[in-house]
Amino acid sequence: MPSRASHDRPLGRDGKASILTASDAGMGDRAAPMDGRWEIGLSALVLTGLIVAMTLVIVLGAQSRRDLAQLREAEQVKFLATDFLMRQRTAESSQRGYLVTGNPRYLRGYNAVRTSLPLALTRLEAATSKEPAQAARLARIRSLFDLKRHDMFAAIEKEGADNRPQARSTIISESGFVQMVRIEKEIENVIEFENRIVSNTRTDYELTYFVSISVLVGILSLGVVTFFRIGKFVRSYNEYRSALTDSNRRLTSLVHARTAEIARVNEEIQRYGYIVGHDLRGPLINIIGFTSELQRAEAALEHQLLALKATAPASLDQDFVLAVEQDIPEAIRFIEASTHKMDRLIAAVLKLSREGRRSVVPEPINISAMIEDLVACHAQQIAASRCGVTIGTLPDLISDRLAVELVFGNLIENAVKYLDPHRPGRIEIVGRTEGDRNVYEVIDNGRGIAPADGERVFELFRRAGEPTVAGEGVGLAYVRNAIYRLDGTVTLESAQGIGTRFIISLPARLDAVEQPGLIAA
Amino acid sequence: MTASKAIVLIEDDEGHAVLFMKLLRRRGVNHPFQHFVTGASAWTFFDTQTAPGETLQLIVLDINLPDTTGIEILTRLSAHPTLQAVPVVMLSSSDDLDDVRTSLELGALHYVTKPVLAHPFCDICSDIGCPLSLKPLAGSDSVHGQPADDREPWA
Repeated sequence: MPSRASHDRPLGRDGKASILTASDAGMGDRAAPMDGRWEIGLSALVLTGLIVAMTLVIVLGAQSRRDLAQLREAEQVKFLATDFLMRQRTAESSQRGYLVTGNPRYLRGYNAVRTSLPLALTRLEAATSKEPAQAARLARIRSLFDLKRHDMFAAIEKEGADNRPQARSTIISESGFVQMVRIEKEIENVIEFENRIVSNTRTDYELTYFVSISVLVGILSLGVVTFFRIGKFVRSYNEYRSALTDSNRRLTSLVHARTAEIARVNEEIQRYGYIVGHDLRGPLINIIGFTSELQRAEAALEHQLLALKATAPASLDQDFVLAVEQDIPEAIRFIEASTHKMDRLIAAVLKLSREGRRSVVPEPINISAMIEDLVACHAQQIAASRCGVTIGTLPDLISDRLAVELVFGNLIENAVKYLDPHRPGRIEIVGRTEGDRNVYEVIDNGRGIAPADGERVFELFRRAGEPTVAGEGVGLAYVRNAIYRLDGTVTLESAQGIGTRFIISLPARLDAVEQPGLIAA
Repeated sequence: MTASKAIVLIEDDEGHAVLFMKLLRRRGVNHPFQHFVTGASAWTFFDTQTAPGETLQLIVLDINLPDTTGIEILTRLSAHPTLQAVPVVMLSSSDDLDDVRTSLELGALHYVTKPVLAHPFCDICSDIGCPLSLKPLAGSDSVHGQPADDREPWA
């Protein structure tokens, strides 16, 4: 059995470290970090592009609305200008016809536009008021119009009053004609100006249109890029996912394999301890048994010696007497003491091995009640050593009852056992919760442990200080063994002549599945 | 006459066997002993027994044997048509609870952890309905005024 144990090493049989590395899990050779930076950069770019495109779309939309409004205004102005000019011409030619012929029929046109003509001008003025250059032109047109109207009116009045020559002089003087030409010129300018605006706005509008199309194309290409990127992302995501699934499967099987191996080794160690304890005991029983036979034989010898002493003392050899009376009983005494001690030690090893083989069964434990019971078990010694025991508020625990009882039983027994006989004893048991663990402390004011002995007290058969108290040096070994099996830790703080504090940390809820040693136990 | 029935002892450790027989003899047990060191030799003997109920008083089995275990022998005995009637007591150098439980489940009448004492062993045999016939305490045992008592361990 020992040779097998040393041959099959528990971990790393393949020469690898037992720590699971990324390459173990098959995730090693993907240049994920570099890819990631690219992806983030590209995504930021796409997002920025989209934001810019959206802004452009909004700006361009507003711009084209403005352009459209301007175009409509320009067309309106052109229409109003043309309308005004037509009416003006109608009035002019109608007035001229009348003056030339004297036939009032010709005044029909004049009369028709007489009231609408100023209105048309007012409308034109209103439409161009925002543009200073146009407004200036309109001001000039207004003064020309006023003059012209006045002249026309005056001429028609004179004609109406049969003052024909004077009326005709108006036509002949060409002043009306000149006024008319100037008005026409100004109106042309107004229209020309609006045409320039229309032409400019058209150019702007075309530019806006072009930019809009570009933005649309941009958005579309971003969409295409994003679509392909999403496709690529989904593909690589799927690859990663299957790689992850693979590596998980590999990890799980690795964990299973190692757990099984640990369980097997654990079982082997326990079995080893059991066999050693068991097989050592066979020869020991012979030594104990035959020592007892020797004792019986020695008793016969002593019996015979007494008889001889009474009947023939002179015949007795001094060495024989010494051997029977002193040497043999002494030897037997030492053999007996040693074998019995050895028997106790082997029993301790057996117990430890047996405890290790026992399944851990978590159950809710009322720690306060358990401690009270354990203290009651030692009531006699506690009373004898004038010892005060204080039990603080102790958080409850879900763990293995027997193991926890063994831990606290040994610690309390230890505390009672190693009290300082020169002063009243004081033992305190306190507890608290730290995250998902419970921490308990068993504090005594006993003789304490020398710093050099420190952790050694937890080793099997190791005892600290002067062996004035009976014991095999197994209690704390049991404690540590049990604590480890409960996924806990035990530490101690001690000062000689002041006392000792054992600090136990245990998971508040022990999970039975996490105990690999139990599969085979 | 019950005294003619044999006590079968299957024990691989010679010392344990010697101590066992010596102490029982000293205690006054006058049954003949049949001692076997292996399971195989014991079975060779068992197979010659046509009416073990009349020839065997008790079978004492050590748990650890070189070729088999006491548990295995016990399993075969308890399934045997005639040998199953013979009382069996188990011996072991450990008090392993699993072994104790298995032994008792298989029909062993008692489980004794070594070293045990002669006197209680005889009492146990009486208790389980297999009283050992004892010679009156005399002879060498009383010569030293120290009769065999339960301070004496045996194998």
